[in-house]
Amino acid sequence: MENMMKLERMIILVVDDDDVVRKIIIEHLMSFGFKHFLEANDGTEAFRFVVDQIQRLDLIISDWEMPRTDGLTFLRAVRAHKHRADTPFIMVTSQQSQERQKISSAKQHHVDSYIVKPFRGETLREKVFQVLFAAEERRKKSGNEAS
Amino acid sequence: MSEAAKNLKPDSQQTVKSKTAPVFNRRILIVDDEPAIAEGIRALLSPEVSNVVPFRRSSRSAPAPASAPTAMPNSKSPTDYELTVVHDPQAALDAVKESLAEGRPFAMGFFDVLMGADIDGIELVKQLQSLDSNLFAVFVTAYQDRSVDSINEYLGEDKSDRWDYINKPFTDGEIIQKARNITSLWNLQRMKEWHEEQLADAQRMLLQNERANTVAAVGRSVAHEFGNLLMQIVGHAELAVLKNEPQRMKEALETILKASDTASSVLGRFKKLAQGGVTGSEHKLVQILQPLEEALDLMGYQFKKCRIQVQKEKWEQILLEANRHSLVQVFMNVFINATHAMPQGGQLDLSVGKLDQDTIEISIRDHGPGIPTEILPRVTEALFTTKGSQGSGLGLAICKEIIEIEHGGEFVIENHPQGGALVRLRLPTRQEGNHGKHDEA
Repeated sequence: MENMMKLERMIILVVDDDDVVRKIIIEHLMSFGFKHFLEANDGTEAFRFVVDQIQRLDLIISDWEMPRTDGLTFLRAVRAHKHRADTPFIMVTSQQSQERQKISSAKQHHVDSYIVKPFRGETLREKVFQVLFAAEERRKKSGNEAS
Repeated sequence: MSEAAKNLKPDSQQTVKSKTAPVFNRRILIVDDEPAIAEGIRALLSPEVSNVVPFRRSSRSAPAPASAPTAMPNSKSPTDYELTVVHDPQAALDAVKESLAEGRPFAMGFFDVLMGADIDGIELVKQLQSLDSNLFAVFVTAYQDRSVDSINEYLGEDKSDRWDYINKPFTDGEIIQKARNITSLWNLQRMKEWHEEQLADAQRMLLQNERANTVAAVGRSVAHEFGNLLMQIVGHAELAVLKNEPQRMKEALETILKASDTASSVLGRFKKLAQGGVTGSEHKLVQILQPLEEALDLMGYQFKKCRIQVQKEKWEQILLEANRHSLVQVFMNVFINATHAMPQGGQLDLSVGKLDQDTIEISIRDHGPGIPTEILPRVTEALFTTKGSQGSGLGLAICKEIIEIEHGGEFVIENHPQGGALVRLRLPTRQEGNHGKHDEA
């Protein structure tokens, strides 16, 4: 299924206030074949890319715990946006103990998938392609219904 | 708690405190070298005769019937005494020693004064009270040589409320009523001690819980920091293996080592905080900046996350006698509150210096919205919180207690004239009898 998607054209927004973690995620994504990335330190910065009409956006990977605007607030803003509400969104969390509660509140806001820090590249690959594939299916389905 | 009160409980040998209320104690010792008199007292107090109206030789009004119901803590009437009769001082000493060993002390004793032994009743009571300071003595005497004052002087001022006397010939009513009053008094005192102990336990537990809350709050932040550090370690290791370039690997290993060092130091600081809750409550010589730096280190990640800049205006190292763990706890609480006051980030001004020769003043000011004046007087009250279910309402109350009660200092929260909340802590540099003007603690 990875071959069916034009990975080199896709644009992924990576949001994390930890520069090192952000770079690691991007390096992994590069190793999967992606080439274009947008980076943001927190939800407020990230949302500027979301509202930019001419900006293509295929996937958002965002940390939960960030200063100013956290991941959940950002997710809700994306889901409420007229044109971007369907953007695939993967939430990254790190607090194992509160994870369940967090995941359930993220699910309420239609997060596509979540991943718990620390994670291996393979896990990230699985989640990213699962989410992209599902989004592709949704697009095809709505395209068929429309025609 | 007194020795005798401890001995009320069967498990008094262990350090674990019994949580059950003390049982009503009816043990009475009767010491007289004349068996007939000893037997007379015993007969007056023993249950078989307690239904007889004990009123023969006194003109005073009769006491209530011995079987009258009372508001005592168990079903037995308090006049069902457990009586032990002995005829010489040595037997009395043995009986008291044995009662203490069994954890069943005597509440009181009736003592003859002249017993034809090496020691008289007064000396015997002095020796017995040195074994069991709660033992109440009633001297039953025909002997008028010693004044009440000389007996008081002999037994000691601290025992002045623990003895009484009856002249021979005594009336039945005197013996019965003394036994009633004194056993009741003894038991009320033990009950009071027990209640005080319960209260102290509850306070200790409250303090312990609040410490645990701080540890848990820091724990969540530490868990998050660890998630990121592990992410750095795992990510770099994996990417280095993937790329398989010597230079890349070297860089990855360096980053991994750096992240591991940070992780160990975070863990070390966290362990110290967690242990502080269970160990060490004594005052030791501490450099004031040490607990402050420790709390700042623990909050470092949280401050970075919340974009809080720490500004040290005055930063003097001063030696003081204090409980370091408690102070870390106070600073953590104040810092956590400051973080909540500035969710969008901001500046935190710290100042440490000497107010006078014996007092350190520490000011912590945030640049948040300050505290509404109507709630300002209540913020250090226990259970007062503006954080709903998020807050226990104990944080600042415990801070105040640690600073004022544990250290004899002062803990004040006010609004800074230029905005934001200002916490001012004053700590005496010396403890124990050197509190100076803070002696009331």
